[in-house]
Amino acid sequence: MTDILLYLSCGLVAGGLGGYLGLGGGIVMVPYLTVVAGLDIATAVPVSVTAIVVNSFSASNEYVKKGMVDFELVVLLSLLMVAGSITGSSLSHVVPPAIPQTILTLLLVYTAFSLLKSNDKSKSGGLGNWHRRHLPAMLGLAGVTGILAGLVGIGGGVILVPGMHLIMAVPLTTARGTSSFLIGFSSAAASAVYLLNGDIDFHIAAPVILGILIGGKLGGFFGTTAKPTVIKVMFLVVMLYLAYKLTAPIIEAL
Amino acid sequence: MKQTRPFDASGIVIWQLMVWMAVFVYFSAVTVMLLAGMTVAEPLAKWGVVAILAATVAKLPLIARQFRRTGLSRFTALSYLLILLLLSTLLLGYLLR
Repeated sequence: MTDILLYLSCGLVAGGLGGYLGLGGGIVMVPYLTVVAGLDIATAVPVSVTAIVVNSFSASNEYVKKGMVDFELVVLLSLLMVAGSITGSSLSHVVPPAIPQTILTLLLVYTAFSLLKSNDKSKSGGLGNWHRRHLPAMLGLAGVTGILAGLVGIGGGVILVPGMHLIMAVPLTTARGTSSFLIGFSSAAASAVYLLNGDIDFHIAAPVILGILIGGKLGGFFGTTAKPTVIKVMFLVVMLYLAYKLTAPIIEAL
Repeated sequence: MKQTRPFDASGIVIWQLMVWMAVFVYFSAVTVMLLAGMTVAEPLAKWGVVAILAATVAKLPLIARQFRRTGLSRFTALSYLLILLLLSTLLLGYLLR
């Protein structure tokens, strides 16, 4: 019984922080499941990817309502993300666990510091204002992000959002909305591969899914009242601790 | 001159909200069953995940329809290509098990 409550709390924390900070939740979920719940990364990744599909339904809906999702970009980037995700999730059986753990650690540190530096003063802009001439570079990035997302169990928003903003000059709010919507498709492809391989542990996935549904809503609600700086500093500390716990066994093994 | 209409995402918003509520009710029940130690909970969770994946793919025809309305035929075709890619993943994965 306590294990189910622990997995439920994982979904709550991942969904809550994800909802508040505009993340898919995978960047919190995989370290939480491995470090706090003590699961191995091969079990945590399929659960995380499946929960991200669910989270995309609620996380992206506010953006869709406000017209902050560029559906043309969704379709274009999803094609490459889905192909990458299928590749990444298929590679998970042949890649040693130390590799995804190391990639995840680097992404954790990068996300923690980039969130601390970021501000929410970005303006939302009209759709379709992005620089089409940089589309090939963005498509390439989407493919690579898809591979990493399928392998490491994250949605990929931590790479896609700055990528769309910096490479194609997509306004940050539109980039967030577009990313949160298209992550649903790429994560669904990865989840399907894991499902067919029998890699999803449903005893863990069910409470995590419920937790992320509740956490996502709470994160969005409390996000309007909490102080952003306090949350960001807390997030930085927790992420650095999780990064340390993830890499410590790898360093000891060397 | 060809008349184009704006992209209307209200159908997608309603669909996502309906799926969110259905998944919430379903997985609340499954989690309660897991807490009660009922063995039927895990197969039910599996079919719940299958339904979530199907609901995700079902968003694409809604997007394709709006692209067709707005006159963006290339993006309509790409939306269907994405559906094909997702479904072929399932089919290939199932056949290669």
